[in-house]
Amino acid sequence: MQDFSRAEGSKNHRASFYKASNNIIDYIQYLQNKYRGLSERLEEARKERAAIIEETIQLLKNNKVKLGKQLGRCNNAEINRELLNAINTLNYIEKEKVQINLIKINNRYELICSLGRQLEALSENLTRYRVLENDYDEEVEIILPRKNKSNTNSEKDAEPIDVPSKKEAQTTSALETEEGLAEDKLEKVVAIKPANANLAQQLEQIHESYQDEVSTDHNDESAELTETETSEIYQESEDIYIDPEKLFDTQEMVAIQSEVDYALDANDNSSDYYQEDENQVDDENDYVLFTINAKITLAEIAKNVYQDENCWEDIYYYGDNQEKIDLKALENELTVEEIVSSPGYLADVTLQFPTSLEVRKEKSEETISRSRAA
Amino acid sequence: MVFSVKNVIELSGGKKYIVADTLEINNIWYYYLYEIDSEEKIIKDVKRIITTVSENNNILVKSINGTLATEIETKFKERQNI
Repeated sequence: MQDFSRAEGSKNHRASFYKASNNIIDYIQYLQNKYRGLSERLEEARKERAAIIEETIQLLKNNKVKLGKQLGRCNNAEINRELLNAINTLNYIEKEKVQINLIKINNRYELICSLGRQLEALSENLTRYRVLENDYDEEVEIILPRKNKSNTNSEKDAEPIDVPSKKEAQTTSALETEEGLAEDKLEKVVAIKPANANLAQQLEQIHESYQDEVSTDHNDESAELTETETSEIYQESEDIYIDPEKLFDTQEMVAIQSEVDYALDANDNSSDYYQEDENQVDDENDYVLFTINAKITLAEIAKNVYQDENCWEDIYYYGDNQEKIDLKALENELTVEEIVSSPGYLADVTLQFPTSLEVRKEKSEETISRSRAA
Repeated sequence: MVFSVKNVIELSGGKKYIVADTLEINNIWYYYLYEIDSEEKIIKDVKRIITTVSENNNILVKSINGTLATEIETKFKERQNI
């Protein structure tokens, strides 16, 4: 510790203190002056930029060009994007003006960013001399509640808003401007010259390889098309076996289809084995018995299982179905057409359904000829 | 048109590019560039679409980004395919 009992020591210490504090004051004043100067230049550049933007807006308005977003609300990247898009719709002279304005705007923006960085650096220097306020402990912290229209009673319990500190905000803005700069930087062309033979050759190779890629892609596409076509054809062929679930979400349709499929499979599997006794097997396996539910009509079954609504006639003439359907028509005093197309009339009636189209047709033709003969 | 195909351009940032293609849309010239190394020996796989503006006898290069860049790149590729 300094010996303050001695005059010399005390004086030296006081002189040193005042000298140091004056130095600090001078430095702070220097910072203030520098900040003031930079800030004025920044304001000037900002106003110039705003004026150029205003002029450009007027220019675009005169040419009836509509922008996606108001330029006044755009950041620099958005202004560039909007103006570059707008340029395409202008004639040569106006376009040149907007292009020049765009350059001026970008130049000012670059200057503003540069000055802004200097101002930030100055404020960083100032933070080293930050003085704690005397009433720091007594300061009242104001916590603003979250805006919640639906729940006004719970305002007191609401959590405070996370307001970013000034420093954080400054850092974010600095980052944003840097990103903006990187995106929108205008670069000056220093030199133009023809490429050497090596580069020219490489460029040609790139073009050739690109063309090869394109042609390969085309081949692949054609191959894919063929596959697609094949799958479509395959799908079409499969459509013969219509999925009843897709058309009717009823258990009845599923049951009929599965019964028919099963019968078909059984028929296929047993056809070789029972080749000698073909007629007998057909008689046994070429139809399935199914009891019709009150919710579905015979016409619907024909449409969804045999893909043809008119097939109900074949079913009608098949086996002993005609007798059963005629009986129901007689009971209800309706025509056969009405019976097969209205639900409920054939409820709990068990009919025979042929398993294949050929059988069905042959049988129906036979039955019709028989009935005609009779 | 400021640059021609197979021109090598050097920018103030120090990077060098070779002009792969040029395209004019509504009286504005766009240039499809590939970056090259400083010794002008290798073409890098770094593409860039630019347009130019002139101020005070200087040629300034402006990068084209976003949807406009995508549209122009598609047109460049279509031309290459032809």
